[in-house]
Amino acid sequence: MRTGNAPLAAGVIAVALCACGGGATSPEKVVNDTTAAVYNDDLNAMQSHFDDALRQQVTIAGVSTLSAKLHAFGAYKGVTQTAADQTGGRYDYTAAFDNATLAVHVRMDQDGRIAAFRIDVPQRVAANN
Amino acid sequence: MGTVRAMNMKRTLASAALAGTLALTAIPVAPALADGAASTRNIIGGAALVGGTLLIINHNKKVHQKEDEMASAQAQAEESANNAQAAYEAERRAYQAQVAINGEYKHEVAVQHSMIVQMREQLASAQRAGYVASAPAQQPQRVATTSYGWGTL
Repeated sequence: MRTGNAPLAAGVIAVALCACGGGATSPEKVVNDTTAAVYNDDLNAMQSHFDDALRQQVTIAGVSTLSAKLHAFGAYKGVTQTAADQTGGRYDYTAAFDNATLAVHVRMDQDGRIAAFRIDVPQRVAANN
Repeated sequence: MGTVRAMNMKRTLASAALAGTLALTAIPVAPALADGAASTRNIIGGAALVGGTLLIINHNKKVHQKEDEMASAQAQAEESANNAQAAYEAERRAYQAQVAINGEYKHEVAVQHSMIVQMREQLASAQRAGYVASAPAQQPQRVATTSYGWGTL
């Protein structure tokens, strides 16, 4: 009896671990954390989700500028996925703020890291800041 | 009125002069050399006759002058009246022309209004038949954006 239940228990534990780990690496969570890091002008937190090539393109001033633009729309509330192409690694989201909803586009590499991250900011705000 | 009064005065003076002349004529004229009294009377009568004649001539002169002035004034008044009449006629013609133009405008407005009513009826008929949308479709509002971030999608 004892020997017969061991594989079952191991399977349950394995499924539970997979469920927890899968949520942590989902593109939506990565994009949400990255967008929040940009909003908070947190360079390190943002770069932790970028791949090596993209990390080379980031500048401190660029993050601060984009953070200031996003603050013009109020508090950040989170992202919602609007399109997904898992084969090409392309995902589209809408980032909700108090006063606006902006489009967020990302490209993920095979390791689940961000290879491109872009936010569409209305030009009237982009010109003011 | 002035002319009639002048004529009456003229007639009265002429009558007086004629009466004086007849009176002198009716008096038997004595021979000039008869005596001094008769000569004196003759001289006085002649002087009176000449004085009356001069008075009449002077009066006639004044009357003619007055008549000339009145005629001149009347001519000026007639000229002014003619000018006013001409100006009135010109103004009247301009007014009548404007009235005619207004009538044409009214007619044009009526024709255009009729055309608008007809086109509205045609549009309503087309909308009922489904050929034309009753109102333009609401286009989604697009906001120009600038892309910020890193990397190429």
